[in-house]
Amino acid sequence: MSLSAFLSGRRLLVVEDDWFVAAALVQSLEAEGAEILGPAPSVARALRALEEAEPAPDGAVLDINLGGERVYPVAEALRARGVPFVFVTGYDPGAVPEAHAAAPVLSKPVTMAAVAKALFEDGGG
Amino acid sequence: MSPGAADHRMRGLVQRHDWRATPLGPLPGWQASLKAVTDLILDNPLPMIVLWGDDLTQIYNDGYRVIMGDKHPQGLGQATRACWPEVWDFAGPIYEAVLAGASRSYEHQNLLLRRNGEMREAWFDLTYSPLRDDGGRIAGVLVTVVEVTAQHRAETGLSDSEARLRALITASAEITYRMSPDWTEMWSLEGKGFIPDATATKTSWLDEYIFAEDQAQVGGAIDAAIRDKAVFELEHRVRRLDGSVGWTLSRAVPILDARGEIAEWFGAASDITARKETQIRLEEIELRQRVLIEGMPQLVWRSDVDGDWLWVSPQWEAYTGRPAEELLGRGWTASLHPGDHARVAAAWKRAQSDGLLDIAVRIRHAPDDDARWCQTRALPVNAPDGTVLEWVGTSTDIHELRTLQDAQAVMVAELQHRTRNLITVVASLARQTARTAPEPQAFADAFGQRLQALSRVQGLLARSDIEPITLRKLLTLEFDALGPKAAQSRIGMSGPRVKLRRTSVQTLALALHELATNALKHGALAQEEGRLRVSWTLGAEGGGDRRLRIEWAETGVTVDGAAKTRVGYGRELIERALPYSSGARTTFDLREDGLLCLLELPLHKRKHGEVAG
Repeated sequence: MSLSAFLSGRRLLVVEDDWFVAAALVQSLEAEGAEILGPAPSVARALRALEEAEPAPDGAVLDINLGGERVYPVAEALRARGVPFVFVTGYDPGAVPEAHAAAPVLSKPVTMAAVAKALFEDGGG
Repeated sequence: MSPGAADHRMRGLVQRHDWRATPLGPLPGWQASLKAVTDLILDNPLPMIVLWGDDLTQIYNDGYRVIMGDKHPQGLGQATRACWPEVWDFAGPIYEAVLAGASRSYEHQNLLLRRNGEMREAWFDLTYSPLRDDGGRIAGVLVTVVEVTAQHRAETGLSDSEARLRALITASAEITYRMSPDWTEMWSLEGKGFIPDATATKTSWLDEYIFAEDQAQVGGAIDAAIRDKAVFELEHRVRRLDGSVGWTLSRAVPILDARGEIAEWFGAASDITARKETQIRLEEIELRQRVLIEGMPQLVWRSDVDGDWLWVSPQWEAYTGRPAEELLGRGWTASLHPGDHARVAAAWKRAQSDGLLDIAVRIRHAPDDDARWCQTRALPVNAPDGTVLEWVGTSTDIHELRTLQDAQAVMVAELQHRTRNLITVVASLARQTARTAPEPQAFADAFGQRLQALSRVQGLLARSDIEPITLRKLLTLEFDALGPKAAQSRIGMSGPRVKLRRTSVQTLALALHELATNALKHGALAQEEGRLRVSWTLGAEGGGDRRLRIEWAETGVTVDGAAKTRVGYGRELIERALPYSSGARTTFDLREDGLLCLLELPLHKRKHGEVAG
């Protein structure tokens, strides 16, 4: 069983401000059988999507930089609900604050296998 | 005068002497003339002797007794030849001449005399004159003698020292000269091959030896020496034998006469041309070095082996705003950033073994009232035996460089980010193109055009720091890219100058590209009657954010049924991508006579800059 098979049937929140990146990610995740919440381009939209999600999503893929604002409030909300998440960033990893230092960070562009491993094998953030 | 000269002992001796034993006979029988002259000399203080008769019998006075030495007393009444055999060669011919009527005088006559048992050299001033008897015939000789041995010795001693001085002057390498009391005349000068000799008095010596531009300085020193009757001493330039410039150290002493006035000047001068030229070269090197050190932007310092500073270049004062004396010793550490003290101490310790100090430190910069990064490098100055004498260091302000490096790091990260993002966009374009253009050729055409549109907007973004991206520029670029097929006369644009947000430019450009391409293929630019008008306005919304409202209106177009149902990539960008990324509100309305598309974009800046994730 390939790692990406973990994604099949999962409900995943995607937070990514760039439409092209979001569209590509959504398309790739859907191709692996995942169900997508969002995508959300901002912290406010992501928190709203999270609130409306019932039951809680199985995992989340979070772009760190959302048009200048940071995704960390979303990460805290996910942690509060016990939802595993993975950061993705176009920058080199290493700039994540201490509170989230344990969360996995992936560099763009990400592969589905890497997302699956980070969320469901390593346990996410 | 000798002690016996004035005691008149000789008068008694002459009176008591037994003259019967001499050719003169008993005293009472002497001729009146002999008695008279004897009487005369015995009262005279000058040394005198009377030689009378054929034997030249001697009668002498107290003064002469000294000259007789140990020939006295037996010399009284003795024949002079018997008494003075040692000087007969000299005296004999004189007596002969005087007895013949002449008189003679001699100065500083040198005679060898037997005195106190020894032959001694002595000097005399002598006069010889004839004495006449009562009959008027010459019968004797009167000799007056003044011994000048002591005076002679003093004079010859003086001329000996003169001779020695002359020898010294000749032997010496020094140039010597004699000047008149007021220096208007040069009496003599021995130039020793360095400068011309003066064998006769020269009145034009100043012009001959001293360059015109130096005459005032030399003249000033001379005037001061004359005024103070003090030693003249000056280093000055001279015109050498060959006319070239030489340097001399010249000293002259005034020689004073009995009244204390200057009689002449005696001087000596040495050729210091080589030393002076070396000195001038060294001074030039030193000056150049100082200009270099004080002119360069680096801060220069010297330190002893313990890190106590000995010297700082003037730039330090300007940089730190503290006087040099405050920086010396350990004072410089007070201008270091407190956070760097430990690092500097460690670096200094390492430098002792490495032989090099090289560290970036923060130094307080007074004009900014802030610390700035400086690269400090220092090397030890070694003695020939290898021991370290001191350290010489420079501190270079590299603050701008470091700031630029930091900015560059941010830029590289940003570039990396944009590149990754761009690849995602390209991948997305490829997917979307493949969905609608399954034929390879159609894919290649459409994908190529979209890549070009993307490339154009990247070009605008790269220059956007210098040249803001306006909506009109973006539109013009897209319409120009349509090529000659697009009739520009059918396109109208109107609206105020609007700067676009960098984050929304890329998606907006791609959307406009799709709209323009569609207009050329199927819409207003494809049909004779078609017209395209793009107009835009700026307005404020309830929330206070400024919004840009763009209206893309195509008219005079016959829309075919198939186009109505086609959901192109342009439409997807407009209806989905722009609202998603930019918070735009859009409508896409394909009407009977052409497309009407409305785009409303917020123009406010986002809080945390414009970088999209």
